Amino acid sequence: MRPYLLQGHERPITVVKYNADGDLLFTASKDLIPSVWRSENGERLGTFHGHKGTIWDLDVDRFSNLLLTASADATVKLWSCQNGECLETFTHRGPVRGVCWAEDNRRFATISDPFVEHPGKIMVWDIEQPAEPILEVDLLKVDGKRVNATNIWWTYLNEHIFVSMDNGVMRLYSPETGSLVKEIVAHEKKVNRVQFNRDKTLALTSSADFSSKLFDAVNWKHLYTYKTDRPVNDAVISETKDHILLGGGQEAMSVTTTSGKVGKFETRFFHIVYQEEFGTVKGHFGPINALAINPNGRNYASGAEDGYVRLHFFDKSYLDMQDPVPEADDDEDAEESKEDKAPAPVAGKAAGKPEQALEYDESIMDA
Amino acid sequence: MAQRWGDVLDDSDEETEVTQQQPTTTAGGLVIPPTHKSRVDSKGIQIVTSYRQHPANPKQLLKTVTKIRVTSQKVRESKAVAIRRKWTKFGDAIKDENAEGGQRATIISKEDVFLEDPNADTDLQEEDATTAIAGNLNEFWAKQQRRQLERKYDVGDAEGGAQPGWTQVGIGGAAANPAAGGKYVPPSARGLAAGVKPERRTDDVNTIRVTNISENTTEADLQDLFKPFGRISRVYLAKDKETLQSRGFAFVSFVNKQDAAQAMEKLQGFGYDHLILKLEWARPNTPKDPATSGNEYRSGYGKALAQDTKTKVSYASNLTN
Repeated sequence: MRPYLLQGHERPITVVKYNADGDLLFTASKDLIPSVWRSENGERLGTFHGHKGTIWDLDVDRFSNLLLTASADATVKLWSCQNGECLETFTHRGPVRGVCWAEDNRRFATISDPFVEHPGKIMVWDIEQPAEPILEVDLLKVDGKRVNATNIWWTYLNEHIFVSMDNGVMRLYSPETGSLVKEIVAHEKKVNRVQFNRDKTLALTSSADFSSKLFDAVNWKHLYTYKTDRPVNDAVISETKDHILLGGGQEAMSVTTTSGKVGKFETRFFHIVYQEEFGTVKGHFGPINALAINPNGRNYASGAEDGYVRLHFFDKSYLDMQDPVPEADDDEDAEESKEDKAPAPVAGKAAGKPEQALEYDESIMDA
Repeated sequence: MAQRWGDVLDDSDEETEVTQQQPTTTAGGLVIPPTHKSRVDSKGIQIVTSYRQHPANPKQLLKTVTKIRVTSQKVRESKAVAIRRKWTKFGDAIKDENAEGGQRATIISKEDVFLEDPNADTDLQEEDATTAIAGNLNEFWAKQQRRQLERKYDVGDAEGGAQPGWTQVGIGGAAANPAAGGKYVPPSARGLAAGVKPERRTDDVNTIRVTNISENTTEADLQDLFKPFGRISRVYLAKDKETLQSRGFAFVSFVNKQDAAQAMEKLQGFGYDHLILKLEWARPNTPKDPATSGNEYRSGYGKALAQDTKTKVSYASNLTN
């Protein structure tokens, strides 16, 4: 595949996100201007001007009409996706780390960092009442230490507000009362981001402790762990295949002292159940900060510290690829449960490998 | 013939599809019929027939029949997508429309990337027959280390005798067989040195000396870098004897001379890490006075970077064989 390089940003990318239909790709970076691109051809559709700080997060509503951006200038702005007009500004007390639409497409939750005397705050807003938040929850110190939240989401049917923290903990709050419902100790270090699958039954965390974990997003049971050898900055679940994509690499601060080769700035592909890494895609020369996969499963985007967003269209070989099924001891069992999968996965894999190697050789020769 | 095949496949009246193009007449009076495109048949095959003048014989007509497989993919998408497709650009994106070349916000990567198998490298190495020729490098390095230790604790191999390790081997080897020209000869092969020699010569010819390598580079990195050009028989990265730090140069031997030449051409001045690689052909071993070479080796190899590296280098390359 030849990825599209989307070079609209001048600073490290913080977030990339597809809309629900997968035809638009929203990107934000530490420069002040979020952008929207057409995912089918990589064309830039528009830019959103008005923020005065780093954009940490954005979220687009279900119908791709309204975009929310959370910025370090302590505001959340509401934009029209169609013409880039800023419709509303929601003022916060500190840098806003995360923003997320509720499923009713009217409320949204934000999380802000502590700032001067103000503690970190979870807020729930209603776009019809932009003056005041409808709910405000202070994030209290834990053992005298300030903990910062890294991002915020709503769980299925707005049941809870879900917050990830920089001490590896994830919390569930009630959106009505703001009370703490549950605390999950997921990681030893900072949880960088959590991504849900489309129906919000699975949650995939990415953490600085070099691993990524899959949780059942209904009962918050830990299911699988995907281990790497670098901090994981973002991880996504493919909607069409039983795969997850992990992005990360060296911490940004140590990048200049290491070469691109050892930095491991690849996107890694894992099988969701077998927890086995089966592929990598190289290309970035900085750690990947953000990943997103198109809901239709045909392309994915990665944004990195190097300021590029790379939009990759999967090769047919990947789209046709069938996951290997371990040889079952009992044949009947295998037929029952894995009917839709490849009958002879080992042969398929063996055939694919030399072909790839050949192509790789040729491409270097041409360069 | 292809036309006939097309007819068999699709009996529908193709004439309706003929493009509204007039036949052109060349100066020589040759009538060139218009290009004809058949309808896409049930199997997705379209036949395009075009005519042109024969380049050598102007009186002759050349007919080109191209069969094209037309595949169309139906993708379902929401109506909203179709509406959004009509949205006009806004913000900085307006500038994109007139932008050219590097100014454009979206460019297609020149580099083709693949979903690579993370375990492929090790697999390839295992399959690579050439590795068998030169022997495993790690093994070599381990062997060297072992020798070093042996020397240090004076255990040595049986042949070592009274004299300590390296010097003894250097001088002893050369003295035992002066024809080897100061090359290191493993004790086991000392009597056979003359027979082994020609093979080494060819190896030397295909060897590239790579300098200005950053010190983080490992042999595996070099292997990766040179692998695309052809089969590599050997990669040797000079390391400091004590600290095991890279000394900034390496030797890469290819099985084929052409591969080596290609690698030389492509990677000359290649920016690797923060440094610019310099490649040159490894100098063939000039026969040295056997008496001095052993001593020189002893004193020079190792820490003394200030000395003329090239001489040391030729020794280093000898050692690997």
